[in-house]
Amino acid sequence: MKYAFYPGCLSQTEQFGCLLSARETLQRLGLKLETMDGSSCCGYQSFRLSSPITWKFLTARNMALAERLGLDILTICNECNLSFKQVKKALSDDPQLRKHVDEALRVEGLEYHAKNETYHIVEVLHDKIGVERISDSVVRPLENLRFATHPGCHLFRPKELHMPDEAEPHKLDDLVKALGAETPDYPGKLDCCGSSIYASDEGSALKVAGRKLRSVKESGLDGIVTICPHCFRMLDASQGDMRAASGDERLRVPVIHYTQLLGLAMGINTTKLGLQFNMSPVELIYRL
Amino acid sequence: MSSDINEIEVRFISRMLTRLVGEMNATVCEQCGKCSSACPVSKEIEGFNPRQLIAKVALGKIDELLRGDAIWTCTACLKCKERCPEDISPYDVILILRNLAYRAGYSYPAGYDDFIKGVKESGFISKPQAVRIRDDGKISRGDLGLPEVSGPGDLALFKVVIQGIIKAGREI
Repeated sequence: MKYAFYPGCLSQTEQFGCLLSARETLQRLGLKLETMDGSSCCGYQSFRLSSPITWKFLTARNMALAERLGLDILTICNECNLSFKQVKKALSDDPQLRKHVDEALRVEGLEYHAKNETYHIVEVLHDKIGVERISDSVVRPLENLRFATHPGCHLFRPKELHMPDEAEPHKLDDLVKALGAETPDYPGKLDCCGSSIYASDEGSALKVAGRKLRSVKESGLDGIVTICPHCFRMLDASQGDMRAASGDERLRVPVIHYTQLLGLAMGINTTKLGLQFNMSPVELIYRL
Repeated sequence: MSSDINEIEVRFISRMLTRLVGEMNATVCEQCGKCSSACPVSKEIEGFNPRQLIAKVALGKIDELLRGDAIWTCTACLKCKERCPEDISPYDVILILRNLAYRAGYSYPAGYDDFIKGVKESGFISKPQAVRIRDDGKISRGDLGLPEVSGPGDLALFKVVIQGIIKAGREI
């Protein structure tokens, strides 16, 4: 299996733990990842509100780059994945939009023919590689660990688009269980982490994220497993700010990206998985 | 900040929205409140309430919404849309209001402008940075043996294309 690898802005510019662990584990599972030279932001976080057509153009441009490689796209970000899905639909529904986008693509010698598919990392791990093969790759089973999974909103919403997981998401849970850990339910599991308002209303974002952390803490679970770099950053890197804003010193919960957890179970060393970048007390997980 | 549309256009679009959402509210919405009880922001932020926000649109209080903070507090999680038994989507109404607020030049979070600037300058919302590690110190991509981020190729050409498509968007 070979894919055009599209990590998205966040994991390429600052959330290196997500990038390192995804590359390391996917390659060990036999995937070939082609770098998408010339790629850029999908536009979802940048232009979607101010200039929707520029957002759609940027996403189409990345799809055109993958087409030129003759490969389907593998993205590790929930937001980029949603962007690919929405834009693909918009381009097929709206010939006028398609005309403008095609014109702009031609300036850089690119063409978009809607030929390639886009897959989220959860689909690749769960549906293509399969839970069984992931289970077979485990050399250090994560027994006696109980995790709160946080699939992230745009892994399964909106349901009218063909999303990576179902309305009652279970794939991230299946993938964590394949490593030997448990994933009990907890209040607010399918609630947002607050990440998308971090840039517009930081105070509210910290409150929404803090609620999630409190719920996990009160449920007595060992940590949170995320799969999206945005959710990961919000829940992991903002804990200090959450404590400062709320005065609640209990807000200290290990947060780990799924491919970091997978890597630990596969016996990969922590530096290669970028675990030094997690700001939450993640050593509580791997020292157990 | 600059604006794409003038006051008269804003008023016209606002009236259309009020009429459409008002009609929807009166004929379809049962006021069951599932949107608000599902909203993860409402649970933490007093005064943020999707059902009331829709009601304000229906009552014509759009100017107040466009100049306020509430429309920027929605996390776009889509839970309100998912839970609505009538397939109404407060989220989509909020998105229209956000677009309108931006185009009218009213309010637009500064953080979003930084992302736009970042894409124009480097292709990504921000430039690759050296990142803090848990035990102290900072590490860059180079320290990790990661190749430089390739970026959008010919950056000057990329900028021209972006400016062109932004302009095309304004003229549609």
